[in-house]
Amino acid sequence: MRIIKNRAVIRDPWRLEEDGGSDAASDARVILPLQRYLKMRHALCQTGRRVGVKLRPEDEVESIAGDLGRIDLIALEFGSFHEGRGYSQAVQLRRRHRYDGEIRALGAHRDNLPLMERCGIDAYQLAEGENIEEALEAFAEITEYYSLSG
Amino acid sequence: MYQYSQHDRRQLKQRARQFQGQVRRFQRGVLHPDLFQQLRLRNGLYQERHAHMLRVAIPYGVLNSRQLTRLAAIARRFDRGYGHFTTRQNIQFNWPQLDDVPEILEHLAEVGMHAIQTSGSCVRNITADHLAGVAADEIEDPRPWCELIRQWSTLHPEFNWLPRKFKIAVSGAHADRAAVQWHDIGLRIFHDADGHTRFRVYVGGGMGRTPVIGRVIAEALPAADLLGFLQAILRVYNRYGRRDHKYRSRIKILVGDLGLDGFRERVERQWRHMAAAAPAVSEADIARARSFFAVPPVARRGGAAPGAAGLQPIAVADPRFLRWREHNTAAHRDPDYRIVYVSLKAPGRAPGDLDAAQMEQLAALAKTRSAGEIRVSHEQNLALPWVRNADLFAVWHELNRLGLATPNIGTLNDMICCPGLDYCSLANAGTIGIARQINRRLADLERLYDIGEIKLKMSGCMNACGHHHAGHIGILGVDKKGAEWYQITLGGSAENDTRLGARLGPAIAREQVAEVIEIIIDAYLEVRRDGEKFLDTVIRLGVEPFKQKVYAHHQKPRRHPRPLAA
Ligand code: SF4
Repeated sequence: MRIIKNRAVIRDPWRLEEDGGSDAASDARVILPLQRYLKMRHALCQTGRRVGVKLRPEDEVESIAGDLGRIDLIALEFGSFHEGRGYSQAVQLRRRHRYDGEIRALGAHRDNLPLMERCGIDAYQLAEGENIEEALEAFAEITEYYSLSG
Repeated sequence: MYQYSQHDRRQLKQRARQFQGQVRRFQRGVLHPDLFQQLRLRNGLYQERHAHMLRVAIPYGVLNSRQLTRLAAIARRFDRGYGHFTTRQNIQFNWPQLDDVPEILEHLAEVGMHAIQTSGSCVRNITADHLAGVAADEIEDPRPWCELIRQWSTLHPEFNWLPRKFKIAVSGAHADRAAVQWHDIGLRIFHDADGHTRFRVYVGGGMGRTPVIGRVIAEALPAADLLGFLQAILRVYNRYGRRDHKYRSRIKILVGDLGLDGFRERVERQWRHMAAAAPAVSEADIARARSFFAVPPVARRGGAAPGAAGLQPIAVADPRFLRWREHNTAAHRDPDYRIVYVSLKAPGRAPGDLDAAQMEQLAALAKTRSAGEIRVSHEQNLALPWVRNADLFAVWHELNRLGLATPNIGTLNDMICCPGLDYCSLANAGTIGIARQINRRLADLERLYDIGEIKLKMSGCMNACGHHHAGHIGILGVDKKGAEWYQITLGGSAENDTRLGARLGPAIAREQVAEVIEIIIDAYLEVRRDGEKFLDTVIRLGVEPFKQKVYAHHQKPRRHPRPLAA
């Protein structure tokens, strides 16, 4: 699958595990849903294996705050166009917890990409029906923002 | 007033172009209608009963002559020659074509105006005391703070998809003229013992179907912390506000669910976490913002005022002028000046409407006689903030000629009224026709003066855009099996003594509304004490005596089949 990362289209090296699956396959870079990650975190810790974690909008970023050094990617689920919680999750991860790994929006819509980017999201798996090349144009539409607006 | 820099103007142009692209993608079928709806709302564009409606922001109610002239040009070219001023310091155009909207936005951008975030689930236009900077009772001018909040909230990336709309109002005077406790966040500026600016912060106020009066979340917030604290409140709301039900998603519901203390605790935790990352207002920021709101240069020359009150002898001899001066002007902080209200409540006109010719001529008048400034009040009137005493007579003449000098400010006929069934697709009942009915029945000015101050506020549905909950007399349109009925409340207020109106009884049929208002007024005149205002009488006696009179006249009040109001 292709995604946008740092304003460029790339082939996604990560694999998203579904909720309720068994153990994560050990061969690929995998993104685990929060609950599965929390169950496996001890084992992961011991092997030193690095993973991605997926947060739903209602999940607290605090639940992984202590692990951020071992997490390479955090995927935020947007679900719908008007889901707004992920923006605050991203800001909290970047500003409060100084997380510097990848933050990926799942189900992103073209017209929200500039907002997401300004909140610190740097990778985007687009929602169904979005054209990935055309979506890149969204970033350049507005270049002027008030410094007070974050 | 605030001057748009190259940077601000570029942002507005880019935003207009972005919207143009979105319109095109929508028309090509590439952009899903549901998504387009949300994007157009964030650019102020509604789909209404007959056509589109474009809502343009007038941040904190401040307009200059050039902007008003431009609004007139837009009304002529893209609308049917008029505009409607709302209770939130916006102007609405009721007839623009979708294809024209990006061009309208470009015309607005040229004069430093926009429709950004005038709708949708985001931070809306920041409103303020319409007499900011000129009121005699002002502690500190709220406009610099409003401008900082406007900049902070404009295209704020984190808060563009809140659970619901979010309204902020600011007052810097002893009397609250911005209805701050009826807002999601209300701010009142005061000075502490050391003379430092502080804010009393109210949270969780709002009208709609569950009216709630805002409560104090911070008693004395230091000025430098203002934006950081607002950000903490918005973040808590964005994270935890309900998103599953439209009528449960305003911040007032979250504050109610968590309790004020629980809510405050979360905000303070968030605030601590933000620490250094919080946007702080530096001395330089506020000094720069203040520099835009200095006394206008033309006004600084000082008024050469003939006569004691600065009035020409001819003026003093004209009783119509004196009556207008008494009712439609207010004390200015500089005694050489008066604040002049421009009444948009002429009998027979929809409250808040102004046509293009009036806009143009009013703009010209403001240019020569009011330092080029016009204000928009949440009570749907305009004001000229810088009129010399010596110019009052001439200004009155001109306003009279324009049909904008009806001396009814503060009277029953100076009513707030949402567009209602004539325009709004959400309406249950008409409002403009009811306003006309009341105007006709209570037309005699001397009688209105005798009745004294009454704030009548009317909404065409539970959304309460006409602030009926806060009316001394509130009127709410309800739908009863396809017929228009009206629920009356008494004793609401949007000022220092903010109160929620109490229901009078069963809804009233359309034809009887003015008659019922008259019965209420007569009941008041019978029982009022010396100099007692209507609101004070209602507070003293409750609704019961009024109820008895009203429903005694209407022998068998037909009961409404379901609850009429929340
Ligand atoms: S109160 Fe109702 S009818 Fe009136 S403008 Fe608001 S939504 Fe429309």
